[in-house]
Formats: sequence, structure tokens, C-alpha cells
Amino acid sequence: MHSFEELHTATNLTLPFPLQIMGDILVANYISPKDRSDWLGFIKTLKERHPEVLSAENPQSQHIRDFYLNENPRMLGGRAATIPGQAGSNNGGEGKGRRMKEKFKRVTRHKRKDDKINPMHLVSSLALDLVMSEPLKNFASEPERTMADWDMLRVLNRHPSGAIMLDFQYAFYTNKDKTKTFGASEVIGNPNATFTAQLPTASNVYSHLNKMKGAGKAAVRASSFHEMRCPGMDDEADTPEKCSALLAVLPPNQVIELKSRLLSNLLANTPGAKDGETFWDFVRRRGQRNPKTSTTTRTKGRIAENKKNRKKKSKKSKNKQSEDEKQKHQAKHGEETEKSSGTAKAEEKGTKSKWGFDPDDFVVIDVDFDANEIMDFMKENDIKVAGDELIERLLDSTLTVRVPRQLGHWVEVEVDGTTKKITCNCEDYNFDRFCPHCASFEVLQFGKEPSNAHQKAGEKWGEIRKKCIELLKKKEVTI
Amino acid sequence: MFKDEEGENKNAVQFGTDYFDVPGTPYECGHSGFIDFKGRYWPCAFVVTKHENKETAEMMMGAVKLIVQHLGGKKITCLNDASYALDNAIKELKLLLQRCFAHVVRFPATKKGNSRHSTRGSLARYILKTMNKSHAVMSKVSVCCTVLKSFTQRQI
Repeated sequence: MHSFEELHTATNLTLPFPLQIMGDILVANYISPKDRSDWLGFIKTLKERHPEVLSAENPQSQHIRDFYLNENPRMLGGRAATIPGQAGSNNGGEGKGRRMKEKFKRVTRHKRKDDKINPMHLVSSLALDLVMSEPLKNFASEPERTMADWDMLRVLNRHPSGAIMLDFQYAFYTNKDKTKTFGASEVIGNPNATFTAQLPTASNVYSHLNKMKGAGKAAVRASSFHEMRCPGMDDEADTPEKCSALLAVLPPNQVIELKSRLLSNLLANTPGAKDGETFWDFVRRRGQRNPKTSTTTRTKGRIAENKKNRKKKSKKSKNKQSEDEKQKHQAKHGEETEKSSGTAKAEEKGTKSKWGFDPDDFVVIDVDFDANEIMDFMKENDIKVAGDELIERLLDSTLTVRVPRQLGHWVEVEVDGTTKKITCNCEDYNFDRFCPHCASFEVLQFGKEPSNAHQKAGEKWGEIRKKCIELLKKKEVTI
Repeated sequence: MFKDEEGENKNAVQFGTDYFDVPGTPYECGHSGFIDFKGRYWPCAFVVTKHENKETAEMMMGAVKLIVQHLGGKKITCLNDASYALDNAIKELKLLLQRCFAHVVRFPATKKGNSRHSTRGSLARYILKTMNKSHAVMSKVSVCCTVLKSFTQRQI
């Protein structure tokens, strides 16, 4: 008897393995270094996802486990291994090396080959690079702050009526172990309060809104015709845009229901991987990555820099080059058909030996069937259906609303009333040791206003703080 | 230096180390330095050597360790590509090794001489090398490599 999971895996046989593994390992950069069990969960689920390469009993797998993917995150590197704000890679060092090389070339451009060997030329080029670099007084020993870090409070201050941003509307204030919750009136604006602000991410709120709407629709089908016409019940909430529009006009009773759903989700959101949790389920729950659109300036900067580096090739030259290559290849190796048949055989051979079972054992359904028909077919053919975790997860994932690039369900902002220190676990904090959450709570809790360089003309931060505190207390929904 | 951290991370210090070939000469130049909050690299120790070996790396990193300890730094982490020479020097000096994530996820050059970066300590290269994939699969991989390469350059 085959499980549904095996069938699902069999359909993905043709994915190129090395790329899939490296793509998954790249996500390690978005695991917060705050909790060690998150790292262990990442390694555990990654090994379960690629057992042939990472969990096999052969010298190669053993080497990967010993040298890269083990309990020590420093062996792999990246942000998960460091203290927030520390570098995850030595790209800066490599870049400096390249610049020093260029200086050496410039210093020795008129020298003969034999003269270049004199190490004094190298020493002088290193000195030249140091002299031409920025002075040491510019060494950034404190996290960099930008004007946009305080935008969260600026937006909150600008819209005093109606719904406030979901980060604060559906936030919970708890102690560190999440055993006790506080009201906004107890902690917000109180400089001596020690608590953890649990801010939900947009994808988490939207997914729960979609699930709530789905459950509401099922209940409404059984009620009378007139009750079915209640506002907002027919609206679908399957995209971030629709969800955002719906949240703005959500009736108070549904806000309470949504918040109670989020509370149970918060309590279930424990560090580390849960039993049976897949790699991507875990990463989407515990990873920390800001959304692509309407995000912070820090994240935008990272994405923009990435785009700049991509090489652009003109279509014409690319096509020309590929045609030339094709002609050369045909002249050397003969007909193309021979090549394709040969490679297909090689691929087939590779997949069979890697996976250990023949994909022909499975039935692949190409035509659109009704879900019930597929279930009946599976039951008739002795395929496990009832209680299959994968089916349950797949059904759950159909109601999940994903915001592009965003990872993580909750952002935890820890406020310490005694040491007056604020820490966070969001992407910006992990990369730069300062983020909009820290900036906002610094103002709200301790009255630390932004410096003159980070203020806009005519801003009165004393008034903004007062207004925001009042608003957060007023708009709080108790469940 | 993280003075505001508590527990084992208090006064933690991280520095980076790398070597480069000096063009037109038989020398290699090693440099160690600190990375600031803007991601800029500030070198503070150099070594000129014929080969990247444990002895010279130890001398250079020992000098950095001395400076850090003099200023009250603890939990000293060395960020590098984890070549054998640097790895052994770190063990000898009892520093903490941290692999450079850019090196670990770096894909090998798709064509000869196409890449300026070294793939020393690359997990991607190891997996590709040991899996013995067919030419067709490898060509697919090399196309996708260029996309992932650009992603890995700045996202770290």
C-alpha cells in the first residue's frame, strides 16, 4: 500500500536535485538566531525533505552532515549563525581584496615583470588603498538608523479614525513564555513594563480571515435566505488585496472572532519543528522575511541591490550566440534527436537509482476530476486517505493566503522595562540590529524621540507619541 | 563589539579573513579586518606569503586576537571560507569558526574563466561534484545557477 505522500513525491521526480537543495539551504539566512530550537528544526525538516542526499549512510552524506549541516549553525554560516547585526558573509573582505589588487596593478603598471616581484610594491599598494579609503572615524559602531524607521508611528498618527494597521490591531502583549497576556492599557506607554509584543504578519492574518470566511459560508448555507444576505458574507478573501479591503470594513463581532483565532495560533506557534511538519510549513511559520511590496526601506534596499547586479543581455545577441552554439554542436555530435534520446535515458536511469522505486507504479491523473471521485478511487485501491496528514495539510494550504516574499507568522518584540532595551526577531533586526518595530516601541515606551536628522519638518514627537498611545488603548479589542 | 548583549554574547567580536593572489607575482596576500554595522570591511592586519598556509594565517590572526583581547573582547569569531589553512589556524588559536555563507552557497563557474569568485568551501560545488549528474541535467543547473548566483551576492 502506498501513501498519498509517496504518490505526491513521485510526481516531482524530474526536479533538478542540486538546485532544489541549494535553494532550500538559502532559506537558512531567514531563520532568526534568537531561538536555537528553530535552527534545529530547520536542519531536521531539511534532512527529511532530502533524505537521499542529507540522511543517507554514505561518506558523501556524512561529510555534508559533519562539515555543514549540523547542530552548530556557524558551520553553515548566514544570519542564523550570528548575533543580530553581525555579518553573515565575508563579501566585504573579498571586495576589499579585489580593490587592493587593482591598486597593485595601478602601482606596477609601468614596471617590468621581474620588478613586480619586489614585495615593497605590494606594501605600497596596500598603504595607498588604506590612505584612499574612508577615515577610521567613519567606522559604524552603532546600528544605522534611517528616517523611515519611524514611519510606523507616522502612519498610525495620520489615520486616527477607522481601522488601524493590522500589526497593532491584532497584536497581543504577553510575558516571555506566553503564559500571561496583558491589555494594551496596562503596558503601552508604561516605561517600567516588561513584556513581549506579538505582532502578526499580514499573511497570517489574511489566512485566518480566509479560513474564517470559509467557515462562515458553510454555516450560512444552512440558514434562511434572508440571513444569507448579511454584508461581507459573499465576498471571497483569497488574495492579499481582497483581504486588505475586507479587513477595513470587518464588523466588530468578526474582529473579535478573528482575534481569538489568532490567539490560538499564537499559542501553538512554539519554536522548533512540530511532529510531521514539512520543511516549507516550518519555514513559513518560523522564518522571518519581510514582504516584497509595501515593505521597509531596508528590505527594499536589499532587493534593489540584488536587481542591479543581474547582467542584462540583449535578446538578439543571446539568440545569435545560441544558434551558433547549436550549429557547432550539430557539426560535432550529429543529429539533435540522437542527443535528446540519449540524455532522456540517462535522466531516467538517474531518477530510478536515486529514488529506489519505479514511478510507473503510480497513476498520474491528467484530467480534472471531482475531489470526491479521486477520494473514492483511492479508497477502492487501498490507498490511505482518512487521517492522512498530507491531505489535511493540503486542504489547509488551499485556504492560506500568501503575501509575496513574506515568511513567518509572528514578529516578537521584547521590551525590557528595567534595562530599557528592545529586541526584535524580524528580518531587518537580524540584518541591521535596528528595525521599525524597535523604533516605534522606543518612542511609545521610553519616549526616545528620533534625532533631528531623522525628523521631518514640523513634526512634534511629543504629541505624536501621546496620540498613538491613546489610539492603541482606544482601539484595543478584548476577547 | 556587542556591549549591550547579555550572557555568552557579551563583548562578542567578529572579524573576517581572506587571501588573494597578487597578479604577476608568486605571492599571496592575506588580510584580516573588522566589519562594521554598514557592512564595510576595515582591514587591520596583513601578511605577504608565498602560499596560504597555517603558520602565516596563525601569525596574522594571532595579531588580531591580541588587539581584541586587549580591548576586552570575548567570544572571538573568525569569518572565512574555511580553507584547511585557516581552519587549522583557528583551531590552534582557539577561536570560533564561522563559515562565510556566500562561499557555502556559491555555485561553480558555468564556463571556464567566467567567474571572478572562488568556490572554496562551497557546498553547492560538493553536491554537484558528488552527484555525478548527466550532462543534460548539469546544463539545466548551470542556467539556473546564474539566477541563484545574483541572489546570493547581496542577500546575505
